[in-house]
Amino acid sequence: MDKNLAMALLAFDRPGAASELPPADRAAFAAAVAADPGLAEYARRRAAEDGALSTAMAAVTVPAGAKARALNRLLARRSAALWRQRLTAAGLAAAVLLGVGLTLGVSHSLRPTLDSYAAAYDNEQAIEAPEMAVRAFLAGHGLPPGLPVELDYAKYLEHGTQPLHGRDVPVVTFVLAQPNASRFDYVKVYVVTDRQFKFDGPAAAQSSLCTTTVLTDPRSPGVRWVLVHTSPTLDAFLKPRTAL
Amino acid sequence: MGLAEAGIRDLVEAHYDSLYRYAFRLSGSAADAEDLTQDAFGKAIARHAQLRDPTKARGWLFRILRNDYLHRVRDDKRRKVVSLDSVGELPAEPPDAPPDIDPAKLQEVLDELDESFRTPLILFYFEDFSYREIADQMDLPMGTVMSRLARAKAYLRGRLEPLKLDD
Repeated sequence: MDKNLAMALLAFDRPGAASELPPADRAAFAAAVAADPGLAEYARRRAAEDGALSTAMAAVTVPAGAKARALNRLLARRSAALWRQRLTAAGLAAAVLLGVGLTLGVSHSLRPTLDSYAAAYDNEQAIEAPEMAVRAFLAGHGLPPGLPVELDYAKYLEHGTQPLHGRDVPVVTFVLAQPNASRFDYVKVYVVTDRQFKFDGPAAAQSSLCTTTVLTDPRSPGVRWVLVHTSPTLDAFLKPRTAL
Repeated sequence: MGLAEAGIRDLVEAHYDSLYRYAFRLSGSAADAEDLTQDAFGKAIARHAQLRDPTKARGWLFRILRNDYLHRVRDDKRRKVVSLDSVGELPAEPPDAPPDIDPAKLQEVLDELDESFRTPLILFYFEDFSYREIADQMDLPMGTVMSRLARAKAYLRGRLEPLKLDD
């Protein structure tokens, strides 16, 4: 190994520190130093100088108690941070509990009590006086109580709300009993308003099994009666001796 | 949250003295050294999750401390440092006998150096950091570290030698 190169490599092979030279270079470097007394002397003097510098560099007195002071401050800071964290967590938990409690309380207070007698009575009213029950039901929804055609309440089945295009709307259903038939015809009268739907489509439409007819009444602007029926016409559902 | 209490104790116990000495050599002041050391530990504990390899805690702490120090002196334009442009890089002949170096005088000379020369010198001689580790600490190519070390060491020799002769 060239002497100048060996001198340069000295910095990477300091006594007392891990050598930074690859094993092969370290062996060549050691051989070069061993073979050249001048280089060995140079390495010795350089190591002595480096050692003296290292010793002087490390000769810094750490003030008495500095470490303990630092440790105490760090632990105190950690403790304060822990408390802040716990208080924040407790605050959040309390807020969540309060929120859940309020939600449950409000939900409980808003839930109606099931009245089994009223359920029986209301159904009985619908059986005994269906037209009156339907009128009361529609009026309760702020709609005209009467239907636009004279449907026969002897064929009344039920009333209530059903989804139509995703919106619950009042509906009255009439059925036509057909002995020995595999299915029965029905007509559903949905009562809707222009606050719920836009009426851009045709007033009548037909599919394979059903027909839709949309009716209006000048006395009730903004209200539409959507009649969906399975029979070709509504005639079978009308009151006797009454034509549409 | 950072380290558990035992972890903090272990970290401080293992590294406080060397970190303080590094801070002292960097700043030249006992008060600043204590503050820098304390802050470095504080930041290390807060960012403990960033330390993936616990065996590299020493280098990590030294890096945090140096960044903190650089942040503090960033706007300190009053500090006068010598230019090492005229100092050669080739290693001068080492003295025949190990020099008797006064640590206080050493600090005085270190304070004359720009931080970019002072830091590699301190790390190299005081904590036996390898060239690679110093390069990593300072985000510099290894060749630059070697060049700075050689020039800083030559300057150190020149400034410390007369004192020895005077003695």
